[in-house]
Amino acid sequence: MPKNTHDIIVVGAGHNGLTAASYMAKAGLDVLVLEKNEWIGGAAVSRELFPGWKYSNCSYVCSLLRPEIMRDLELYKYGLQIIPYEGSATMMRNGDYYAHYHDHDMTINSIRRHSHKDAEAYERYSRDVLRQCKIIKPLLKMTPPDLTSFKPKDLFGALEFAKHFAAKDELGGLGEKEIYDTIRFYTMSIRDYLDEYFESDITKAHLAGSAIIGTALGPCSPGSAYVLLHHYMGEVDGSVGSWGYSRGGMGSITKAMMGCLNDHGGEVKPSSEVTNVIVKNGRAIGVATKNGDEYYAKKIVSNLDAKRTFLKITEEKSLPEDFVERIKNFKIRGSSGKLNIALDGLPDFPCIPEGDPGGGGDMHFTESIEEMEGAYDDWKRGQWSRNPYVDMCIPSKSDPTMAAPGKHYMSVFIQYVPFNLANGGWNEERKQEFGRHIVDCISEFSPNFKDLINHYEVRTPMDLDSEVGLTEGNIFQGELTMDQLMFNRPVPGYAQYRTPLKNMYICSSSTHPGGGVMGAPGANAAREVLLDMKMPQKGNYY
Amino acid sequence: MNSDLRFSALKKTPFHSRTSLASRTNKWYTWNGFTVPTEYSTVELEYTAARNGTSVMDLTPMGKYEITGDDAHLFVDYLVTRDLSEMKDNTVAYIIWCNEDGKVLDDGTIFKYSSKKFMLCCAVKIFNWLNDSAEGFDVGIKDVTDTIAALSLQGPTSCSTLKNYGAHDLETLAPFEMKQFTIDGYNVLISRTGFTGDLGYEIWTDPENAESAWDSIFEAGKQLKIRPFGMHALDMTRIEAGFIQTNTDFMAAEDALRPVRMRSPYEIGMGWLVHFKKKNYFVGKKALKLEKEKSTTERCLVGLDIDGDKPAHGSVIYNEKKEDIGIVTAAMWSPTMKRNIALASLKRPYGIKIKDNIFAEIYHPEEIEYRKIWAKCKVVKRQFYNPERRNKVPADLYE
Amino acid sequence: MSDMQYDAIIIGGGHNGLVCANILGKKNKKVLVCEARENCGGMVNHEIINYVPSVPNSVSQSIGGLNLKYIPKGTIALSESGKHIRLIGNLHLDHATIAKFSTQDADRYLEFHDKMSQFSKTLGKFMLDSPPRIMNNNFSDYAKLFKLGLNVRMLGKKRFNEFARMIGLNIADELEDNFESTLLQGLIAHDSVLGSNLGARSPGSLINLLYRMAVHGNSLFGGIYEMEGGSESFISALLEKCNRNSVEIKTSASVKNCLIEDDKAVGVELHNGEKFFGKTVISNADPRSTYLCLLGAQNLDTDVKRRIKHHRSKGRVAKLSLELKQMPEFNDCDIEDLNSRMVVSPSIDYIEENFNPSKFDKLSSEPVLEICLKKDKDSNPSLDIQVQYAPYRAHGGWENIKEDYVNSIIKILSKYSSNIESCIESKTFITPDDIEQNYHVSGGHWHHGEIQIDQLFMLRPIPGAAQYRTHLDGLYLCGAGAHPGGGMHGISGKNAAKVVLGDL
Repeated sequence: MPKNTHDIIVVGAGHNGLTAASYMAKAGLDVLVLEKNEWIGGAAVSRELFPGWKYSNCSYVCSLLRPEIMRDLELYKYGLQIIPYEGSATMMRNGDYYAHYHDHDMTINSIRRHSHKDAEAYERYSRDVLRQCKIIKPLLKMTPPDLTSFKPKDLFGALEFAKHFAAKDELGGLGEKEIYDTIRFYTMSIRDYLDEYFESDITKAHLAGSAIIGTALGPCSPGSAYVLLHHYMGEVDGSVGSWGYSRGGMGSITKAMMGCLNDHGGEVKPSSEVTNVIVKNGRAIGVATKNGDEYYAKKIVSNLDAKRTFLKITEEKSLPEDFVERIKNFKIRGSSGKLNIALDGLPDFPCIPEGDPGGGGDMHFTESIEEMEGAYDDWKRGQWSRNPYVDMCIPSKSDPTMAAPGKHYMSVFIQYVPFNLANGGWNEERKQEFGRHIVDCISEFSPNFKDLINHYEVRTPMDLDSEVGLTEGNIFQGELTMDQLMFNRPVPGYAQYRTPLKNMYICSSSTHPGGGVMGAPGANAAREVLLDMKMPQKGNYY
Repeated sequence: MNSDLRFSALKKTPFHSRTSLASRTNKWYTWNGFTVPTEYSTVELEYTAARNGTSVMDLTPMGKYEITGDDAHLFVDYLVTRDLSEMKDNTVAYIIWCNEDGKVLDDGTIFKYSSKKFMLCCAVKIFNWLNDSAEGFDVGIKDVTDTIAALSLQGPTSCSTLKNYGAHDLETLAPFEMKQFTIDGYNVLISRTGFTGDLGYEIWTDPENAESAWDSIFEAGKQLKIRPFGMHALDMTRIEAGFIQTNTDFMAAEDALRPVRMRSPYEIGMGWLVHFKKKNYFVGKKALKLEKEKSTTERCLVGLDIDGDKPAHGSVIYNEKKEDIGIVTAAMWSPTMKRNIALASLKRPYGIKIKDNIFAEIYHPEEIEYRKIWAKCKVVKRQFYNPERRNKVPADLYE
Repeated sequence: MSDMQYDAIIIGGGHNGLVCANILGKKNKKVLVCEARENCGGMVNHEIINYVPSVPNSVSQSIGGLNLKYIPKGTIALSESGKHIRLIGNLHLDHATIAKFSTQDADRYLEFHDKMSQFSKTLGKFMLDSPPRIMNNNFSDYAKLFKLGLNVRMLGKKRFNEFARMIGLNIADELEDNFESTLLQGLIAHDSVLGSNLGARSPGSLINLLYRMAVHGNSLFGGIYEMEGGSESFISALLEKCNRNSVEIKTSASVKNCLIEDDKAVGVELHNGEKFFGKTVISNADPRSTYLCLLGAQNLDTDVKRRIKHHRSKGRVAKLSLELKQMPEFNDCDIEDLNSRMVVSPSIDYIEENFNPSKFDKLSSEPVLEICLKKDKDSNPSLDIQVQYAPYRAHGGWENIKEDYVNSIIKILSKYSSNIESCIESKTFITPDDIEQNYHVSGGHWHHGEIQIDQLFMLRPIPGAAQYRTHLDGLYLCGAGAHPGGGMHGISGKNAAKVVLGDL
C-alpha cells in the first residue's frame, strides 16, 4: 500500500469541493482536499489585496447557498452570517432612479412612481416567479435521472422528476395551465417574458439584470428567463429571491466549510495543484500534483469544471471518445469581469436620495433592455461592452468587517466582458484600459467616485481562468442554457456526478443544478459517493 | 411627487389627521398600501356602536376604479358574472368576477351613475385586470383610489347622523341605491351599502373635503352614539352578516400561488351571482358552465354553529372518522347573538348533504398554554344576523 | 340574409384553407370558402415568396393527389471572393464540393447531415401530427407523448443524448463545433434563421432548422424542390380540386366577424352585410386576427386576451423584386447556377450583425439575402430577393427609409453581380407591414407567429388553442399560426380538417 492514502481526495477547495468534503468527512470518511492556490475558497474568497480592505474578489453576494447545507454543516458555528440587502436601485440619466426594497409595500410604491400598471403587474409577476421557484426547489436537491437508461433506478428517478411538475407537491399539484406556463418560462427570453407583464423600460431593465448576470446570453436570447429564475431561487431566511452579503466577505462561507471539515477530521492542502489523475486498470486510484507528490484514494472527486476535469487532469485515452467530444463542445463562456475597489469614503450617487435604502444593495445604471442587448452585441463581437451592465454594491455599508469605519469596499460586477478579446486578446495594458473604462462609466453617476479610489483590482475572464481556474472565466462553470441543464449537465448521460472513469466523480458547478455559490452540486455529489460506498447518509439535505 | 414619499412604505389617507387623533390605541395596519387603525378604543365598544349607534370607518384604501365610455355598461356586464343589464342608474350592485377558469378574482360593489359611467369598489388591486379586460370595448379605466375619500357609517342611528350632516330625505333611499348631495359646498355621494349587515351608508367625497366632513359628521352624530370603528370590529360584524372577505375566506385567483387554492363562485356560496342567461359573454362563462354541467364543484363555504363558547380560529374540521374535511376561515363569539359562529370551507358533500356530526378542533389559549377542544358543529345559513331595520324603507330615524 | 346551411365555412382561401376545404369536400361536406382578396392563395404568392417548395405526400394524398411537377433546386452560398459553395442535395457530390474547401468539413457535413436527418425524422412524425395536450387525462394524448418518447429512446443512447442537447441549442454553436468554413456556416445558419426572429446565436435556432428539414423531406439541401409554374400552378391545382369536391368559393368576400349563438360559432358575416350559416367555422386567418377580429375581444376571457396580445407574430422578412432588362451576370457563376437559390450570408457573424439592429426594429445596411432568378420564355427575367431581418414597423417609419434600404440591398448585390445595376428595369419592395396590409396577416409574419419553442407544439399558437380548436366552440384554426407552422405545406390545413371531421 503506497503512502498518502485516503478514503477520498477532493480536487479543488472551492465551496462545492468543501461542501462535498464536509459531508463525506461527517459520514466518517478520511478526506483530503487538494488546492492549487495558497489560499482556499476557489471563487468564494475574501482577500486583503490592499492593506485594510477585504475584497470578495470573485463572487460577492449570497442567496443560493442551500439552507439545508448551512444547517447540516453547522456553518454558523464557524462564523457564517448572512446580511440581507436593504434594497437595490437603477440610476437613470435624467437624475431619477428606480428602486426595490426589502419591504414589499415600499417596492410597490417605488414602481408606481414609474408606472401604475407595472406596480400592479409586479404582484402578479412575483407570484408567477415564486411559483417557478417552488417548482424547482425540490429538483435542486435531486440527482438528475439518466433518461437513456432502462435501469429501474433511473426510470423511477425520471418519474420522480416528472412528478414535481404534475402531481402533488408543496404547491398541491399544478394544472395544465401552470405546466404550460412553466414550459414557456424555461424557453422564453427575458425580454419577451417581461413584456407580458410590464410596460416601462426601467422596470424591465431593472428586473432583467438577474437574467443576464454571468451568462453568454442577452436579454433577447431565448432561455434567458430561466437564468433569472436561477438567480431568484435562493432565499435568505425564507424570503425567497432575496440576496445578502456574507459577513466578512464570501470567504467566510468557505472558511466556515473548512471549519466544519477540519472538525470532522478532514484536511485541506493548499499549494498542491493536481496535474493528473492516476489511472490503473481503467479506475482512478489517485492524483499527482505539480510538486511531484502522489496521493491515493478510494474515490476521487473533482471540483474543477468539466473541461478542466476531463480535458486537463484526466488523460483522454482513459475516457470514451464521444464523451471527450461532448466535453469539448460543452459551452463555458466567459462573459463577466469585475472591479474590486478600496474607497476612502462613501461615493455620492446623486440619483439616489441620501438615506434611501435602495442604495443599500446592488446598484445599476442600465435603463432599458435595448441598452442591455447592445452591451451583449458588443460581447458577441469580442469587445467589452462600451455601455456595460454593472452590478455594483458596497458591502461595507452593511458589513463592518470589510473595511475600517468610514472606509468602504465596493464590488463592481461587469457584464459583458469577453474571454477571447478581439484583436489580439488580453494583455496588461488592455486590462487597465478596461478598468479605466468602467471607472469612467461609474463616474458619470458619481462625481466624487474617482477621488475616493485608493486602489482597485481589475478582473477579466482571463484572470478568473488562470487564477481561480474557471475555464474562460465563466462564473457558472458552464452556460445555463437548456442544452446544459438538469440531465444534460454537464453532458447527457453523465449528469449523475459519476464519470466514465470508475471511482472518479465530479462535484463542481458544471453539474446539476449549476453555479451561483449554491453548494448543491457538492452535496449532491457527496450523496452519490456515499451511496456507492454504501455509507449512511444523514442530514437535512438528503 | 413629494420627495420624502419616495421611499416611504405606506400612504396616509386624507382622514389621517383625524383618525390618528381619534385613535387611543395607536394600533395600525396596512390596507392596500395605506395605514389605517385596527382599533381606536376597544373592539367590543366599536362593534357595539355598529349595532347600537353609528360607527364610522375610514374606507379610503378600498380599491376604487372609474369606468367610463360608450361601452361602459357592456364592459361591466362582460366583466362580472351577474346580469347587470337591468341595473338602474344610481344604484349599486354586489358583484364577483372570475378568470378564464371560472375562479373568483374578487368580490366588490359596482356603482352605476349612467350607462356610460360606473365606479367599481373592491379589496384587491385590479387596475391591470380591468385594463386587459377592456380590450375590445370603448371604455376608459381610471384608478380613483387616491382621489376619492370614503367613509362607512353603519348602525341604527346612521341615517339620522347623516341627515343631521346635511343629507336631506336620506331615509327614503332604499338599500343598494345611491344619491348625490351637495354638503358644505362639496359633492358627496351617499350609497346605502355596507359590510356590517345592518342599516348603513357609505359616503364618497373629495379628499379636500375629508377632514371637514369627518368633523361635521362627528358633530352631527354627537347625540347619536357615534364612534370611530376599526378593522377588527368590522371583521366581527361582517362574519355575523355572513359576508366573505377575499384572501381570508378564499384566495383571489390572481394572488393564489397554489392552483388548488383557487375557488369557483359555487365553492364560496356565490353561485347565485352567476347568470348564464345573460345576453353577452362574460369572463369565465365557458368554464363555469362546464363546472355546472359536470358538477365538478369540490368545496363549499358554509356557516357553522359551534358548541361551547371558544372561537374556532383557524380550526381544522373533521368528520366522525376524524378525517380532515375542511378548515375554518373566520370565527368569532357573537356578542349580540351569544353564539359561537364561524365560516368554514368544506369538502363536498360536507356542508351540502352532510350537515351534522362534524367537529372543529379548537386550540384555545389559556394562560400561555393551549387547550385542545373537540367541539361539535352544525352547518347553518351563513347569514347569521339580519335585523329587520337593515332593509326598511324609510329607514329608522332618531329625532 | 341567406339561410344556406354549410357544414363548414372557411375564412380565407390560402393554401391551408383550400387543403382543409378539399378534405372536407371530399367527405361530402358542404363547404364555403370566403376569401377577402380577389384571388385565392393568400401568401402563396409570387409577390411574397421566392419559390414554392414541394408539398408533402401526406397532404397531397389526403386530397386525392395533386398533379404537380417539381424541379430540384440547388443552393449556392455566394462569396465575395467568387469561391462559392454549390450544394445540390446529392451527398456524394456535395461531399466533393465541400472537400475542395476543407476535407474535414466535407466529412463532418455528412455526419451532420445524417444526424440532423435522423432527428428531423424523429421529431417530424410528432411535428406533423396534431399536438397532444398534457394533463388532459386523455389516453390518446398520453399515447402520443409516449410514442414521441419511445421514438426518441429508440435513437440509441448516443443519439438520444445528442437529441436532448439539441432541442434548446443555437445553430451557431453546433456549426462552429463542426465546420471551419465560415461560408458553409453562414449558409446553414441562414436556413436555420430564415423567417424567424432569431439570430444564429439565439438558443432555439436549431429547432427551426429541424422544422425546415422535416418539411423538406428530412434533408438539408436535397429536399428542396421548386414547383413548376410556381404559386399559380399550386393554387390553381388546389382550386381545381375544390371544383371537383364541390367546394363553394367566394372571392372579394371579406369576413367582418364570426356569428355567435349560445357561445357557439354558427356562421360568418361579411363586410357587405351578407351572412352565411354553418355548423363549423374554420379560420385560415392568423391567430391574432382570428381571436381579436373574427371572434371578437368581447367574447374572450381576459386571460386569453392577454395571451393572444403577447403572441409574437411580427414578420422579419421583406421582399425585393427586380424586373430586369437583361440577364444579370453573377461573378463566377454560370447560367446553370442562376437557377439555384443564391444566398448572401457569408458568415455567422454577418448574420448576427444583421440580427442585432432588427431586435429593436432597426435596419442593417448589409442584409442577409436569398436570391432566386425567374425567367420565363416570353418575358424579361426578374430577380426575387428575400431580405431577412427587415423589421415590421421599422424604426423611423418604412416610408422614410425604404428607398435607402433598397439601395443598400442593391449595393450588396453588386458585390456579387457587377452588372446588376444596369440590368434593373423596375423595383418593387414589400415590407412585413405591406404584407399585413395587403394579405390581412397581422404582423406580416410568414408563419403567422414565431417558430420558437414557447410557441410550438402544444403551445402553438397559444396554450389552450393548440389542437386546432379555438376557445369558441365551433370555431377552428387551420392556418400557419396553428401547429406545426408555415412553409407552404398545408399540414395545418390537413390536421385541422381531421379535427373538424371528428367533431362533425
